[in-house]
Amino acid sequence: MDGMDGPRAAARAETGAGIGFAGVTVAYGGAVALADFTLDVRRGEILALIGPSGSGKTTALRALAGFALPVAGRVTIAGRDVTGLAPAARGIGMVVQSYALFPHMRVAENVAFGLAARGVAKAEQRARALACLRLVGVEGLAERLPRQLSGGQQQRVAIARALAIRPEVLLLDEPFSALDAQIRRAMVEEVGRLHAAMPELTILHVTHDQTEALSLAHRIGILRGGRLEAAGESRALYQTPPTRFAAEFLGRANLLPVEVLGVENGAAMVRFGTAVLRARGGAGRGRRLLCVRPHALRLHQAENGFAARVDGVRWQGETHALDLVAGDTRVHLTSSALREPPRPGTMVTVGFDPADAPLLDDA
Amino acid sequence: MTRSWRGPGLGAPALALPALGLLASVVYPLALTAPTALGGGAPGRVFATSWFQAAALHTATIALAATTGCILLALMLGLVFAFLPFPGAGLVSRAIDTVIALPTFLVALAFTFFYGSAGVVNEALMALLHTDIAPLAFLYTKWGVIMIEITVYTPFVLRPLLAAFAQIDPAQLEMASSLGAGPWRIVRGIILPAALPALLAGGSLCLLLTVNEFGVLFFIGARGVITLPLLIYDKAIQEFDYPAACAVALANVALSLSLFALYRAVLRRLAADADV
Repeated sequence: MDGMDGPRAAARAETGAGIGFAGVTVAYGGAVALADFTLDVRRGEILALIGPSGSGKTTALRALAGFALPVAGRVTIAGRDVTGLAPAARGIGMVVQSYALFPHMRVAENVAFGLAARGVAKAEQRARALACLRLVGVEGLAERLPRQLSGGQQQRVAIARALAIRPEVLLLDEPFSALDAQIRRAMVEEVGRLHAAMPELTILHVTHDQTEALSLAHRIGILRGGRLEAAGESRALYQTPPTRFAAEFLGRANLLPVEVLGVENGAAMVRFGTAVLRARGGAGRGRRLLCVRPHALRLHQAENGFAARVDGVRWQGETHALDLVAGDTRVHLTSSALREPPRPGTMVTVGFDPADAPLLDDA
Repeated sequence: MTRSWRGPGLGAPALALPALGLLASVVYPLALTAPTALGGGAPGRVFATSWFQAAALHTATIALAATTGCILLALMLGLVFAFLPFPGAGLVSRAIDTVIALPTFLVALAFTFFYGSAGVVNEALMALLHTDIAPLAFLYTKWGVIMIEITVYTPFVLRPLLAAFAQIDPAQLEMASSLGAGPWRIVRGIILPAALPALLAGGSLCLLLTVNEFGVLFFIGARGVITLPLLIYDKAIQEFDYPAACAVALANVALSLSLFALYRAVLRRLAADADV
């Protein structure tokens, strides 16, 4: 994740309006799939929309593409109201999970399709198609048919096809879901590199894969039940989720029920079971949730820590995952691979840095 | 080690009996047409006549026109049913399918009731125009035959076409649209190439059936429209000229088998393309 920060930050243009949703509501029959959705994506920004199935993320993308007509609200691209425009007139490139390459056309013809539809001269179509194929590293496959390509190659061609028309906005609708884990990681890095080469391109990336979202996006929007639950800078949203749902959906989170005792030296003092712990922020008193990511917990750290019983230990190659029980609360801890992992049934202490532990409302 | 099941031991005699029955009742009478046709120089005598050549020409033009009509109508209906669905589209599609189950002469009869000299349309027009002569007489020409054959055989193209349309990933159409393609380019560039095998298969079948169509022509009795199947009937039943009837039948069978071979070749070619 961190590896992407450099080029990602450098690539971000943020020089104007990219995409705008203003109070967009989409209904299928009587069922509201997206309700009063308002979100702006800056030009040159990569925004990931994540959420569980049926949360409305694909509907939002389809409303932007012109395949779902809002019953209320406005959709804008580069400041232009496109709510009533046909998909063909919106100037968007789109990549979907099924690749949707045209099976009877060779790769170069697939990539040139949008150029032909826009009346670009034949010689230029070919040159631009090959340039886009080169951009995604598959220029050698120009004369192949889609069925002669692997899934990863097909997805690269789909990206080249979407980019060939030089769109203002690139929509990615779960584009890597059908790929195996290794190729998916490579494709995420590829999109990051492409964006670094085209920093003005605004990307809306719909995914159910939080890792993909965190790896690629400058900002993340979390949808729940057709509504925007939370939105913010990826790192900030991960480190300080505003709601319990956001904390649990974006990465794994331990949500420890605590009682806020007060504030001391800028840190909130909370009681968890019998332990008094320090946490980030959180003025006021009363019952709250302490959010600690599994990798933020340190095994055998007594400072700012609590006792827990080891319930299970799983070796995962590079890491160890520990299932712990503290009082009535199950706690998950992830650490780099341990030389001598604790045995199930033994008691351990686990601690954390207060800066890594924000307080949430229990809602 | 396994042994394959070889039946109760009846073996060859059990197979030979039905095979002989088939030979005696079907293959032998069919085979008889060849020597009857070829004996006495009937082909040379028949094929050189103007009535045979006119029948061959009528057969080909009616079959080609009806097939073209079937393909165009099926394409239009298929596009509407598959991509512009309307309330009741499924019901209409199934109703069109039921035409397959109807005997061809029944459709001809229905057209007679509707467009015939004393049909509903002509009676209305005669009342409107204050005339005693039926204004619409196309039903008793080759155009009437073509229209009826289009009605009868369109489902044979429509059904495989709808199946092919159902196989098209809707995302492909959306991608094409988002890339800037209008409806016509999408139909021409994405939908038609995907449906081509179904269109060719349905069209070839349609051509084969229309070449051999007898019931519609016999029922309508279109003036001067004699096709090869009608000619066989005329020569055999009305003129008792069996050698001439068999010669025409031989030509009809040759035409049908050629079309069938073409149909198979097209399918093989498409299958080979799909396997590349």
